[in-house]
Amino acid sequence: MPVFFGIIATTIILSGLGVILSKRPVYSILSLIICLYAMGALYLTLHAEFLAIVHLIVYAGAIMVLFLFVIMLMNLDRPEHLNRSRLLQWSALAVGISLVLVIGSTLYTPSGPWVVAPMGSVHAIGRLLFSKFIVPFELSAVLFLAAIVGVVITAKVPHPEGDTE
Amino acid sequence: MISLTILSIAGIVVMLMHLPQWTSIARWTAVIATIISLFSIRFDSIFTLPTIEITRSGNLWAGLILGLLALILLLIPNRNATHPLKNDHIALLLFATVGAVLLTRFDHVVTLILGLEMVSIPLYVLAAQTHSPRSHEASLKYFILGAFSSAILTFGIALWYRSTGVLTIPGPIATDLIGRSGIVLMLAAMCFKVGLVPFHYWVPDVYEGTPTSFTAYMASIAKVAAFAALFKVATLLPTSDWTSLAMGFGGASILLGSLAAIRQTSVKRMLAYSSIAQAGFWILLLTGGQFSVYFGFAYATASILLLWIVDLVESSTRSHTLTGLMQKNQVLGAIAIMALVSLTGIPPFSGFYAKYSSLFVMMDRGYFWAVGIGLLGSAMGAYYYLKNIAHIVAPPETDYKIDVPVTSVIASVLAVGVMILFGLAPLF
Repeated sequence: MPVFFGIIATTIILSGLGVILSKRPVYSILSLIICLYAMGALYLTLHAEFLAIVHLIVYAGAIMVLFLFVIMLMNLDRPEHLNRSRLLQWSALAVGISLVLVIGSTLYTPSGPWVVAPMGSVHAIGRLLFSKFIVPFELSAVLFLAAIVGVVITAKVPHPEGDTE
Repeated sequence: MISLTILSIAGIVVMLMHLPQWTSIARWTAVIATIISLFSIRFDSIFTLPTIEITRSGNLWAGLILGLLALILLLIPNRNATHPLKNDHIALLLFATVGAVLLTRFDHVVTLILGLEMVSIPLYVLAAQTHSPRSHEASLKYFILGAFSSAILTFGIALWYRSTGVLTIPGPIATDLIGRSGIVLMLAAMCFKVGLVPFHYWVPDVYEGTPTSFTAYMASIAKVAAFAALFKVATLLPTSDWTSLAMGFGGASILLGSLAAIRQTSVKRMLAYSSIAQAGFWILLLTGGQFSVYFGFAYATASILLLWIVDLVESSTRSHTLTGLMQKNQVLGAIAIMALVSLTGIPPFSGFYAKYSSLFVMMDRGYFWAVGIGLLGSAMGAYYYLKNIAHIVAPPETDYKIDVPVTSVIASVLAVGVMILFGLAPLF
């Protein structure tokens, strides 16, 4: 197990460095995809199979395709488009370090109840969704419906005589 | 849960009525569904479901939200300054109200997050419904800041879970630093939603850019629901910590909101800044009991009426002022004056007792400087609200005509009547 973790962690760190250090946006995104795949593998080692699958489908699949699509469609893949000001770099560094400190401080006080038993299988999550979390599950359907309706009526171009007269 | 189901189904039905000439049928369907779900609140406790907690004060909040929704649905004009009312808009208002009612009865962080998102996402859409750069800017600003506040909320929940190991609200009071900072982050996200002072920057631009019919929803129901959730989350902090936090947010909101509202010329911007000041008074009540519901009623009803009138004047004149309204339409002028007087906090309107109770809570706990700030804010409020009354009774600058449907007039007169009735009720 420690060997697996070592391989995965090294992959995550290297590809993470690739995201922030590569000159061209497309390379950044491709490294981000590797990073997300490695994180999916990390979830698998933590018995969170469902989370791993969803992570791959949603993040590494759909969202990364959107990123790539936007960059290629708008022809942003040129280094001069990047705004790398000193202030932004230093503030990003400060935010990153403080995030590491906060998360590290929560991890290194081992009193918490955060160690998880193997309960992340599709079966267990399905049972939970249809028993304890039935209300949020059903209501999120309403939420998605509202979002879909919203996208349609916002994106629809107004009819020349209908909306503007 | 019965009330939530009725509202959701009504939203879907209204959404499916896609022909433009069916708008009035859609409106009445929505109104009737809202009233049915208002009366079904008392039967909600028949089913006990996990992640949902039905309390008496939660029922009061839910009743207030549904009553305000019925008022908005009756008042909202068939077309505002730039675009007609579509059935999808009514459906989105119903879906957002499902989230608002959920915020009055969550007992798990999942339902809290879901409720906040369900109130916000339809509003991001509704803010963009006028095809103007202003409206799109408002929507984008609201969306980005809303996404930030959701992220902060989730991070706060993670820290709180780390310290207590529980995800239910009300839960154990956090004692260590990590747990408390988690709760403070959660409260900061809620303060974003209600627009309290250090998190208020979006309020004026979003209120101004949004089509006025939907600003009325934003300023009333979204705010009432977020306050219901805010007071519930605040029970996770020790009382003394929460009191000092609330006084900090409240005092700063009252002072900054009032100072900025004095300088505004557009009524919508003035109402936006004054809503920051009102939120400051609201949070001084400290708990989500009857007094807070009463405050919500007083503030939200007056705001809905005023924004409705601004909407009507705006679609006739394209200007954001109410100058000369009294001579053009005496009923509307009188209603606007009474709403402004109620917001000022003058008896016999309910706004008086609302402000009085928040100052009384502070007096009772012995925080006299907070009472002083409140009184100062009320005095400044009297200045800018009464200035608008002077505009209303002044002679009109341009010639315009306002058509109001009879049902809207009846609904607004009824709302004013309830406002006076509730204003007198504490005397008996």
